[in-house]
Amino acid sequence: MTGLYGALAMAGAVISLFVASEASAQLADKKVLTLEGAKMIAAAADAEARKNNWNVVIAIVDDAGNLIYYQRADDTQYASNDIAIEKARSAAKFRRSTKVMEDVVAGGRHVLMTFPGVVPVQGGLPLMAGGKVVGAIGVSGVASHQDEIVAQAGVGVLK
Amino acid sequence: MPDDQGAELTTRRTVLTLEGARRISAAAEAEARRQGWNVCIAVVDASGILVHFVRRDDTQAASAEIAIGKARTAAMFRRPTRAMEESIAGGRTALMSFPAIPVTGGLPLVAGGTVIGGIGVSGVHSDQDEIVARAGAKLLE
Repeated sequence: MTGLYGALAMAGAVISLFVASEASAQLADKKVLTLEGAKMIAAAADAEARKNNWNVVIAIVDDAGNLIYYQRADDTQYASNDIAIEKARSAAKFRRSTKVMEDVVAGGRHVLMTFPGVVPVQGGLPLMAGGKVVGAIGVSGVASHQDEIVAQAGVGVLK
Repeated sequence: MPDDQGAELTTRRTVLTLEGARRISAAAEAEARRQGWNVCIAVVDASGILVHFVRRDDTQAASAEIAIGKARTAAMFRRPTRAMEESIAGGRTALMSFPAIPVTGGLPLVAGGTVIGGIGVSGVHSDQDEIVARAGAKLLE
């Protein structure tokens, strides 16, 4: 009996190995940003904004551009609500800083502004983990280069 | 500030702070965690603009916009989204033409009898979403 069960268990193990290798050909694992991680990144950015007395919106999205975390400091201009989120989205989906996109547009390639959903304005940075983009942070409320200083403080948490 | 006829041209009102929104959201998040519910929690001001937002790990992607929409609806119409859902279910289908998410899970945030914002939750069953929202809203009671 033990022999039979042993053989069955072994056959089962072989089958599950086979299934696992079949599945691994079709599925992949990837690192994803957690809410806890997003909160830590936002807290570091928030500390930088407070230190400078800058009222800003801080938005953090995942690699697909979906919102994970958002905060708007008291008395921040209303326009910054959408802009911070869109900067984060642009940085996540295009996997680069929005400053790079702004520079390209300023350099004459205005056609980039026709891309759907792109806000090529400084203040959005990708969030990298293990060489991969896991999301992005977008900041809006003060001058764009100041927005980026706040975003950079958040990015520093992952380094 | 009165004009030359003595009429008041401006007035003051209570507004929600980020710190307040953070605490309301934290209370709601604690309830969601206690229940093991993956949800998005959105807090907006009286104009319906986002003040604070969290998405718990592994929450369905659709819930981000819906949570924000429920919060906006509760704040701007100054009533629980359940009330609108019930009106529609009761036959007033025309209400669906409003720019709103009239689905249970959004509550107004009330301070001193004035609506200062809204909280919206999405991710689980609407009744459960509302339980999470209630845990946040009651902080002001």
